[in-house]
Amino acid sequence: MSAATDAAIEGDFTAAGPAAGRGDPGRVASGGRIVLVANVGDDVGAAAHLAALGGRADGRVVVVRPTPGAGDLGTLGLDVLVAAGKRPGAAKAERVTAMSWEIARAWMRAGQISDVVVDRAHRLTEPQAAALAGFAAGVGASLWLVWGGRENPAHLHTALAGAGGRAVDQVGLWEFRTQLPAPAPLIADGPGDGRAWPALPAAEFTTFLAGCRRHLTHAEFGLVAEVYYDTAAATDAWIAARDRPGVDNQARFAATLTGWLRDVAVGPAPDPGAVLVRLRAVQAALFTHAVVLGWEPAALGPEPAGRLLGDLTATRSAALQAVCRTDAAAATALSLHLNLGPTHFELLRIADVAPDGSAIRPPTSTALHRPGYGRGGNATPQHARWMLTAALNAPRPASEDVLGWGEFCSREPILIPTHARPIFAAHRAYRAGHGATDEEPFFVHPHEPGRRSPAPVLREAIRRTCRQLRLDPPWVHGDNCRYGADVGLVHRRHGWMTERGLTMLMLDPQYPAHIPQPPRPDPPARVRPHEVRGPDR
Amino acid sequence: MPRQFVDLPGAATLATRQFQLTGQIIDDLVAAGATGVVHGPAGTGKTYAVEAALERLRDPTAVPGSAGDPGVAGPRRAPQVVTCTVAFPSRPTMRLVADELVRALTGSTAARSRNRFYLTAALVELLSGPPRLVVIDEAQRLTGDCIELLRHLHDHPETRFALLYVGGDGCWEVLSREPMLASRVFRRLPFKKLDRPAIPALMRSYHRIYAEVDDALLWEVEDAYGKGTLRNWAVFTQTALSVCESSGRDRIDAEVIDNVYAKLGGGVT
Repeated sequence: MSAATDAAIEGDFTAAGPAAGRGDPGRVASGGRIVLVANVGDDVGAAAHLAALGGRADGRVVVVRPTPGAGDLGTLGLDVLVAAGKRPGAAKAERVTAMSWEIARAWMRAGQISDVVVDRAHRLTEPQAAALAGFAAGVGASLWLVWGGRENPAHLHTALAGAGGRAVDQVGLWEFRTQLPAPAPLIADGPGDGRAWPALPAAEFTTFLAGCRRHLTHAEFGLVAEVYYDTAAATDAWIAARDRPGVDNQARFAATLTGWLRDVAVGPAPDPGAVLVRLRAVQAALFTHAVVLGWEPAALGPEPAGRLLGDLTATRSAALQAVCRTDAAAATALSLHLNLGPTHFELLRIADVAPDGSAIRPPTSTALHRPGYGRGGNATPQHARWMLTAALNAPRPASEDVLGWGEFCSREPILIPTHARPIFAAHRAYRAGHGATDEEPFFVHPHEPGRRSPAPVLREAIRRTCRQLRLDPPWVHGDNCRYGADVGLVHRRHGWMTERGLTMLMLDPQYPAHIPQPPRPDPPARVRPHEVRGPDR
Repeated sequence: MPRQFVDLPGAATLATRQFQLTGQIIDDLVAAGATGVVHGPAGTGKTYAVEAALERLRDPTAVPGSAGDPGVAGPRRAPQVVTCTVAFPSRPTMRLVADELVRALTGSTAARSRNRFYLTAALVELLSGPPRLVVIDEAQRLTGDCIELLRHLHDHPETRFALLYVGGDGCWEVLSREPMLASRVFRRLPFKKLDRPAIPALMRSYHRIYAEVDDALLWEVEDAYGKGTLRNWAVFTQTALSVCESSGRDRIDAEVIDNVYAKLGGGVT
């Protein structure tokens, strides 16, 4: 047995122990923490997040779901065993019911479990909460207690205070999701190893797979089918975890869908071949949910599939990290990632940006119309006054006000690719270094912060930075182009979808019941060498 | 078709908007594996509409949508799911809810020696099989603990079932008090009393004894006895039918109505 293993079993967890270095760059190191997660409204998205956490591929997060109504330690021990992957009846059959905690501890130590998440923690009794705190400490894992009652569970604080004297953090769902992110769906990359994709048919999504089957060799079709079915399954899972699309939530759904396509399903694909297969699979899967995702490649020039990829590439991120001004680099990175100008960037607070730059929480839709931008009533009066001034003094292009906002104000976080995260983390650190609190804006005017809107300065900084990158993105042009494709009677739309010739249309919600659901093969249980993890492109 | 209240012979199903919506909502719940609530005053046809929709779900030849009404035609079959309906006495315990669910799902009674953990684990296993629709009738009787158990089962990643709460007065108030439920309701259908102006047309399609009867006469019955509830109308209709048959009439008139009122307590409701 190695020294490291010995240390682990003795509970001596250091930075090199199981609680650190999980190989997931999006994770904030959280070894040994006790965190109370407030889920006051019992958000249905939190349940989906817990389900996804429990199914993590690395298996280092366990989710304990305490049996309702059981306040004793014995039952909770069995719940912990189930969370560790044991059959509910196994302990009884093997006559080890009384040793459930001990056995669960051994298994979790061996599995190097880093986080123990407990759902509905407000229903735990004090002894149960204290036992879980001791258990997590013994395993060397962080303990996340997700409580969903209306009142802050004082009994949990009491129980945890007496459990080893560890500090207890309190976070909201946003921080919980950021600090303990669910894994992105596993979608195959395609050929990899520098090999090229075969020439793919230019058929619409309705006949794309059939075209591939007809025109490609058996091996080539297998390659396409793997990516295609992975993506379709990921799309189904994504849509199942969200509000069903309907006429009344079309705009909200479009914003959420844009974010998912941009950050997970389509934008991070490794090459034009993979992105085309992924797009066709997403289109087909969405169609069975009464959502038509249209793609008009004719307007995108030669090799239109290449235009589907994200604009914030690793090369551009590296170039942006050579820029000195953190606000210019961050605004440019965000603008390239979203394909939007900086008009609404001023609505972001420092608290909206994850400390490691992995995610950004977009402002809510009410922020645009409410100068105070008091999400949840927590904006400072100074910030409210500043926003009012900004709203009055900053004339905005109508095209962005009306059109760009929709994609920006999604309810779900904007996920930042791994290579670009240091850019946002750097600007956050810069702002914090200047004494800015979490409630203050992420972007401010460099000379008159709090009095003038930073949007014009950011726009100029983005243009200047893009010129260094030899880019001329249309969404930061001052006005519609006098010559070229932008001429028209209406403003040119900007946004991630528009730049890729994508449109979304909702059909009658009853529609899916009337179309055949094409059969799909079960996802193979395999470990793929080229798994893509969403934004970690 | 589901059994009419008081087994009224010759009565047709009233394809009200709420009746049709019930079928559509249940289809949506089954498709999404989601939670829904159907609630409203007693006697407004909730249980009948839900039973009709469940019957259609169990019928492999039925069509989706608001069916239950054999007149509705469509190209495809309704989604096939296993349905089960459970109802509880007033303020049931969590244990009783678990026991009743086991009984509804397996047809046998859970062993009393089973503790909560094994009972809940058994329910998770039972509900992780084929797609199901679990209907909780008289949901206003549930306590917070019972709703917690149902939430635990429904949110468990291994289970897959749609959950429909059906309840009378106060049902929505009870359910919406629980944030764990209020945030999960995917479809909600409040049943209301019948619209007074629509009564004559509805009743003429309901039973032949109302055919060609004056609107004023039907409104009088509505004001005196019907009160907008289908259950009252069913009771009145059954009594009126027997009076009509004994007096050799094929439809009601003022004299029949007087006799019916006399049989129903002088028209005092």
